[in-house]
Amino acid sequence: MKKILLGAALLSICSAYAGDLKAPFSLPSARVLPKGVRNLSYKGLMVTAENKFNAEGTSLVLADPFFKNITFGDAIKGKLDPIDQGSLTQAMLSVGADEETSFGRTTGQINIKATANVPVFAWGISRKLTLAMAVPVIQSSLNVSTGVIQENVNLHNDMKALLAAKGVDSKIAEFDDKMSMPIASKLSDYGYDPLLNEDKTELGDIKLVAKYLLSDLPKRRIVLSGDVTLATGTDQDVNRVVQVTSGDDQYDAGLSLAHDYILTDKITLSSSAGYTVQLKDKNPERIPMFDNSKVTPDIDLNTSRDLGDVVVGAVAGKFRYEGWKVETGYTYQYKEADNYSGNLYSAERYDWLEQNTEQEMHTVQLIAGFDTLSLFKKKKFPVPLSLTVNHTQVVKGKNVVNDPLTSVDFSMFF
Amino acid sequence: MFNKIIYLSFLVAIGCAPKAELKNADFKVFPKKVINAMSSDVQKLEFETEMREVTIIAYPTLEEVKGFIFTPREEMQPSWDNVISKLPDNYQSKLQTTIDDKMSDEKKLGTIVTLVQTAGEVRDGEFQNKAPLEIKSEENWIKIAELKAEMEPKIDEILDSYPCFYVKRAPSGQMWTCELTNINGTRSRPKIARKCNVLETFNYSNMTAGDIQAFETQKSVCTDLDESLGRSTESLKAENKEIVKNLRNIKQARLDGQSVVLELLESVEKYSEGTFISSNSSISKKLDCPGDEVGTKCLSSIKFSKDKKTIEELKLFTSFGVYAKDKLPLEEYSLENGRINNLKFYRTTYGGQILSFTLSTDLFKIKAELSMSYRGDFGLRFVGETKMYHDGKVKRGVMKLEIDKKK
Repeated sequence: MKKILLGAALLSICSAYAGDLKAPFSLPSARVLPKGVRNLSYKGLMVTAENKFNAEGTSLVLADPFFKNITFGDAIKGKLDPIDQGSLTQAMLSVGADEETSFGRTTGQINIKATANVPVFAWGISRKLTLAMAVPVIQSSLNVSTGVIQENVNLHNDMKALLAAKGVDSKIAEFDDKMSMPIASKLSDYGYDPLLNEDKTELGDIKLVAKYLLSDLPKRRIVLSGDVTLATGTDQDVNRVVQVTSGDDQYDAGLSLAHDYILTDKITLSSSAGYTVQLKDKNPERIPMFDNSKVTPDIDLNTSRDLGDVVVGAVAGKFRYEGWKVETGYTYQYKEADNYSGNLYSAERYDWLEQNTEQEMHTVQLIAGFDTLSLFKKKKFPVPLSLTVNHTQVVKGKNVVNDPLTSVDFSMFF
Repeated sequence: MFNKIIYLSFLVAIGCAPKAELKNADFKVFPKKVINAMSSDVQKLEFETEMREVTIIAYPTLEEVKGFIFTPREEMQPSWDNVISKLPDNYQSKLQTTIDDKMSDEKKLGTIVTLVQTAGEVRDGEFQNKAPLEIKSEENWIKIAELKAEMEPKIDEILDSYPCFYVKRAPSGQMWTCELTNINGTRSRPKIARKCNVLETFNYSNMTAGDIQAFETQKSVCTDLDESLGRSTESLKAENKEIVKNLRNIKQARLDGQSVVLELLESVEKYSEGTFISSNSSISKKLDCPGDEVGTKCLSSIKFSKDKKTIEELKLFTSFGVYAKDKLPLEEYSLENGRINNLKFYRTTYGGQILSFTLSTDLFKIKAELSMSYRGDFGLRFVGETKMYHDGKVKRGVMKLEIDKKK
């Protein structure tokens, strides 16, 4: 029987990962269900998220944005009131420092484990048309921790001496406090919710798929697929800086073409190409204060958002013998940069929101499985079932999570 | 069967929840400084009631600096130069002292704040330099007095040992003919030398060779003592002269620090008509009492309870604005007349001591939250931020109350 390519929303972290590329967990296939046959499958995806590729393709830990030098320059830029900026500039000059002078660095740790449980119901409406619906339920566990490594003892002491000389003793303790938890302190100043560990189960973005068999020749099959992703998942909360989301709160529409070339009765070569449009919408967004700023106090509840469209291309080789199968393939995905605009702040600030949203992902997959279809046809097994295990490795990419993905697919036909 | 599959799928979907590993991020912090603003040592100290100095200023808002530009006036340039000369080279080179129309409003406001606080720091720094100089000067005068007390009696003893009983006054610059005792018709009141070199003009007629030798020796001893005293006291006096000069420079630098802030904020007042400056009566700037009573000075004051846990009196004599649209003449703002209220004096969880109150004028209210600190060089200070509520707007500012320890 056939598989239906699903693009269930998995998980995303912060806005940079909303509506972004996810590792695939099936390979291209130009097969549809026979008329009247229904298929209910369960796909279980297990992912961890600890690493990602940055814009240059270098692998970094997911908590990388937390690793920053605490410099005077950033501290001044991060102050909301020009009066505080002026005061801090004066303090910087007074202690003989400059904008690059650092107090130390912030540290962080983000660990995520998630399981996407995706029941998929498919129905062969006619010999050529199959409709399917995937309903992902995402369970996630997030552990986040932030810290600080204070490094410049002289600077710390000079700052305290300066505050004492100014006669504001009570500010010394405040300084000590803020410098011992700079991330939490900054998030609180900017109106974010405190960082919390979280375990939760949420409905993801439901996907509706229609597959139409364009050509069915002895040696080749061609299928045209259309899909719509509904905004049923939970998008990021604008007040949270680290969050596992189950959706991006906007609709997608995709079109793809899959082609199977039947080399022998055991070997099939498959390929596909697709394009997904992420539809424009309005969404609450935090608008960066300056270039490359990670957190900001400014919120535009009505930001115009146009997430980048996605192009996918995949090739696969499949071997099948007596119900056993082994498949391998390569998938390339590309997402255009997102586009944001709004009226509350300068256009430049909305442009900063678009930084590092262009994405690219190269993945290789290995799938092994067994089904009882031939046994069922020979009446040697009571029900037609299939069980496959998939492993996806992200080999190269840009601005995408690069942890491997493992999934299990259990299908039943009736 | 279909229903069973649905049910089983649902069970699978909500089961087997994953669990992320709990890991803590790296953490290393320096020891925190323990603050105890109202320590038992401070509680034991006695402070003057009258304030040494009072500073109250407000910063403009972004709206008020829109279009504002500033360059120090030519006649004020020496004051700016003097203030800037007190800063380290690195500080000087990075300090922006002009505000031009290319700067954003945020940058303009930030620059005003930086300049005001820089001037404040120079004033504080100079005040810190002042106390050791004053102490040194006092020590020198004590040493001079001690040396004089030690040497002068010895000199006086020698001078008193050689009275000149004379018959006839010597013309100016001529030698005196003297007798050691009142004999042969000499005048009954002898001439007594008040300086050692005067002995050189005494010529005793009836002295033995031994007495002459002794006189010569005593003259020499007297001169040595006099020169030694002169040498010792002159170096101390020269040092004190230098201290006086330095203290004058310090005073000038402090005045210049005040002048540059006034020039800057007066310029903003002229431009925006907002109220930013105040004039306050204190020990360092004694102003006439409000009303018609010319010549009587009223000084801002603060009075603590004996255990220093409460403030029994707080009185500020203040005028607001120079070029502002809303100016107020010098008036009394005190707990007594109710124009200072909501006073709280409390310890924070960090160990800081905070004085907060609201000062109500006829035109606006100023809420102050001041941190208390005591240092040997600065005395007792209440320094902190203010919020001025005026015409439906809130302006941030600073307030500083400085009080000397009782001597």
